[in-house]
Amino acid sequence: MSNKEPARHDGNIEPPTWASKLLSRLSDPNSREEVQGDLLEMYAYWSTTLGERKARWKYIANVCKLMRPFARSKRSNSYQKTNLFSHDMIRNYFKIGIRNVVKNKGYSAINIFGLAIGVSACIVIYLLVNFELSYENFQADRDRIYRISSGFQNAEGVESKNAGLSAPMPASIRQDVTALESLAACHVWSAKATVTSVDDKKEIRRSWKNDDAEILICEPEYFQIFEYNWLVGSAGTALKMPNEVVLTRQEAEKYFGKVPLQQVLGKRVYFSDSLVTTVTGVVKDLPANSDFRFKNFISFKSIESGNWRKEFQLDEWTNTNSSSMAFVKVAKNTISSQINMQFPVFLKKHLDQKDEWNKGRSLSLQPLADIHFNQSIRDNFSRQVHLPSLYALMGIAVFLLLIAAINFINLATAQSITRVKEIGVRKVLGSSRKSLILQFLCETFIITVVAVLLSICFIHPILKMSEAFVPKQFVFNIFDPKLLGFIMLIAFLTSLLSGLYPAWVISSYTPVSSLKSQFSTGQSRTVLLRKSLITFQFSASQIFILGTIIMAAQSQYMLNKDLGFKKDAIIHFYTDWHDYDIDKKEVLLSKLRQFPEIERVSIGSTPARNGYTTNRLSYFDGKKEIKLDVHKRSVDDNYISLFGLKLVAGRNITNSDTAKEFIINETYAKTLGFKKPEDAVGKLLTYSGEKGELLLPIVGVIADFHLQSLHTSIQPLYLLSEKKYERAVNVKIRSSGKSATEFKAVLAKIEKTYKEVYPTSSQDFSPSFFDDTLAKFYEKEARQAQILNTSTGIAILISCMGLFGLSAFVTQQRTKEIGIRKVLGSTIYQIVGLLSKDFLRLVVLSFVIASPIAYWLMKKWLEDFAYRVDISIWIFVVAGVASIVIAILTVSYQSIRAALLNPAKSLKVE
Amino acid sequence: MYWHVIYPTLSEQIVTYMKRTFLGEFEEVILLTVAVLDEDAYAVSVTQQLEQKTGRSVGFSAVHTTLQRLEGKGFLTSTMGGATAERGGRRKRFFTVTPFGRKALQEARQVREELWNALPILQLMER
Repeated sequence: MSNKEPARHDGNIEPPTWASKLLSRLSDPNSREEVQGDLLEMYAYWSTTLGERKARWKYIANVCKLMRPFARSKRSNSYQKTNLFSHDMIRNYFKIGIRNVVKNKGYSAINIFGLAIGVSACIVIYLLVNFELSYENFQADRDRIYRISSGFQNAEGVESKNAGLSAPMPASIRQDVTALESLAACHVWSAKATVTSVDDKKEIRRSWKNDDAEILICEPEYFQIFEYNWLVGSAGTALKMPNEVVLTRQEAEKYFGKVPLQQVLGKRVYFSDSLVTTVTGVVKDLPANSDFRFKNFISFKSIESGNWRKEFQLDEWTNTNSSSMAFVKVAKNTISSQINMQFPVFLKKHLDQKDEWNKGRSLSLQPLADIHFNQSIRDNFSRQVHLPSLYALMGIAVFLLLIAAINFINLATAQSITRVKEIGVRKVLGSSRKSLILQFLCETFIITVVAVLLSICFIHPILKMSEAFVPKQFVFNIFDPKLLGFIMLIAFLTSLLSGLYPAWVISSYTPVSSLKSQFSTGQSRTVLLRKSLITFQFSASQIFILGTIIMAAQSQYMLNKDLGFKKDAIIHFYTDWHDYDIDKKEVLLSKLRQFPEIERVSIGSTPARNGYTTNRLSYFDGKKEIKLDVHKRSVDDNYISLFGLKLVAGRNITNSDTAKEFIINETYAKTLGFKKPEDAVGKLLTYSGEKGELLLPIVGVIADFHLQSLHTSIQPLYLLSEKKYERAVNVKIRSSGKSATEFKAVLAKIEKTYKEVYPTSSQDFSPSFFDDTLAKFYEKEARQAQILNTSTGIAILISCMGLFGLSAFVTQQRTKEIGIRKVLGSTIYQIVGLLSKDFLRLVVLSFVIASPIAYWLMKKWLEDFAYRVDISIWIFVVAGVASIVIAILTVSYQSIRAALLNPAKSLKVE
Repeated sequence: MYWHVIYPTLSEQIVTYMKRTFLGEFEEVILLTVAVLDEDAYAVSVTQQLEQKTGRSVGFSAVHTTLQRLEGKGFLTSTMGGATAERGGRRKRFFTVTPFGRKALQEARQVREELWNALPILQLMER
């Protein structure tokens, strides 16, 4: 009761002041006065009836309810509201949109074309990335499938990986390791396949080379791990017996023609002339997005006996060949670490622990999804891709699309000045801002849709043009629902991205100012934004330009660098794999030496190859033993002179059947602690060969040359003569016979001789030029460079189109000004300068921004190479000058045209 | 006493037509109260009158917005009164029912009466 007393007697009691202030601030101005008064009166009333506390609460609650956003919206509702999405309005948006697009043909063309290029680049990159990322994703149990890969630790503790494992391991793993659902041992094989058929009582033999990892010798479990679609036969029965083969449908058609598949069953296929197999099943080929492109599956039992057992090293626990693999499917609810845990125990049990080499060996599971991307575990069948390159590619796609969208934004905001009056009139006639925004978005949408349709037409030619970096397995199907979805998403995103800001700017003009005054160059905020967008665009283009130049410089450097040996006019090929006969090799060599066109012939390995062989050598210098894994090259006495290597100490090697003496390179000599190369000559190295450990002398030291690609630095190396294992024939052709036809003639001669010596060779004579072999090292870089070149071209093209349109527009806006200037005596140069200055300033600014970014990015890229070019100043100078020249050319076309215009004409323009 | 009659403007009529406005229950009660209060109808008096007559508590803000809405629909019209002493000198907004509003009230009443008439007397008695 005590609360009520003051209210009754004191008329001045106040409601909470903050609430009253709030009310006076936020209530609707039209009814502010009476609401304030009314509430005061109500407050007094409530205090008498309900008490002061409740009155205060009620007062506050009512203030809140009567504040503007709740009580009454800003907009008056006394006008008719139009439904923005009504049928009529949408039709109207499109009609006006199409009219505007048609009216400004030039700008629309620039926009559409620029967007189309950006979008098609985006789509093509999407297709490629999506293709690469989809590898093996059709395998039902892909999360449970692994490959068992081997790891090795060399003497310095550096880990290296191999996709395969020693051939006897899989069988033992099956026994010793638990939680595996199934395991399949496999060998990737290259062999000639022969099929005979009887036609008119004559036997016809037809053979195929099959040297592209098309044959897999595998256990029947392979088909339990990997799901294949069986057309004839079944996974349960096939490949259980020796001399069985399962073909894919394509392969069956290749061998036997298009006959009913049932007839293929029971037919004979001869592999490598000596392995006879019978077809017991046909499976459907796997989709294109698989590395498992095997087409002939030979039963593993076929090679478990006889000579084959030795050939495939099925009892060799020490050798590891990447083509001898094991795939496993782990049991359900098992994680890979549960199995990886068991491998050390397994290796300890089966490998001789006294051998130091064995101590460094390990096994681990490699997930199926990893095979396509992990380049540190190489094998000889999968086409591996570089995952960071894919990400870079996606980045490029986004950038290209952004550049194209920026064109659109710039042109649209600049052009909006010409539409100020239209907007004024629309607003006066009752158009809301929302409907204006919708209208402009519709225009953008029309342009984007046309651009996207155009870009779909571009996809096919682009894929054709860029065949070099499109994997050949890739098939393009426009009706792929995922692709269509992506295209629609791109269309939608692009119209939002490029349309939203212009729509917002255009619809922001107030009717009074837009109808009253002439906007000449737009609002300063818009101009600033436009300038920063241009700067962004040109920065991106310049980063592309710099990247291109540096990549080109590096690849030139790599191809032309002095490798320490000669590489011109040298071809190499291999002698028959199965023929170990040393005499035959001698015959071949002496026959080749008789040709006058041939300068020199050597047998051994090639100096730079992609793979490598290392062997553990040790040297005892009196105090300690230096153990090292040293690169090995087999050579004969012609090798050093053929490749032009420099002997810095000692003498040349003499030919021998087995290891007798060594030549080492300077790097190795230095590692062993010799100050002068001469000191090394005559010292002994411990070498473990077939006959156990041997102490052999160093007879010479050669100058360093590059053993591998320039990604790696020069490693320690030794040369030895070991005729038994030397298979690579290097032929130096006299460089006088330089023309292509003469070269071909020489090659034909060599081939003839080869066939004379090896008449029954299972492998064809396939010589390669040493230059090409070297160039293959840099295939990845060549591909990257090609992609970057294309992207640079596109980026420059789109940015220039934007600059062109913008300069055209600005020039048009200033036609009168130019006319007056001319009348008052300006020269053409002054006018051109006036018009180009603004743009050039932006290009220079963007160069300043782009340079450090490009420098950093390319520095990262170059870190991949042990030998690399310096990023020198001239590269930046060239890129800067190039982009300025491009910008000048683009802008000056418009400005010169404007400057040359007769002032009498330009002043008439209104 | 004076009648301040303003016919709804054309656009307002269109709005009411398009919205197919009819009187809600609360709107009808408020409209009636304004009519009852005659010259003295403003938000506070309407609220208090309603509370007294119905015996239930009525939200002031609800009354206020309803009055505005009814004015928007053309059922009511308003004028500002003179300066007052008791509420910080602030003026009051007095509402009067327009002929359109009266017509709407009558229509509502008529509908009700027709419905009542349609109800058989027997049924009423039974309850």
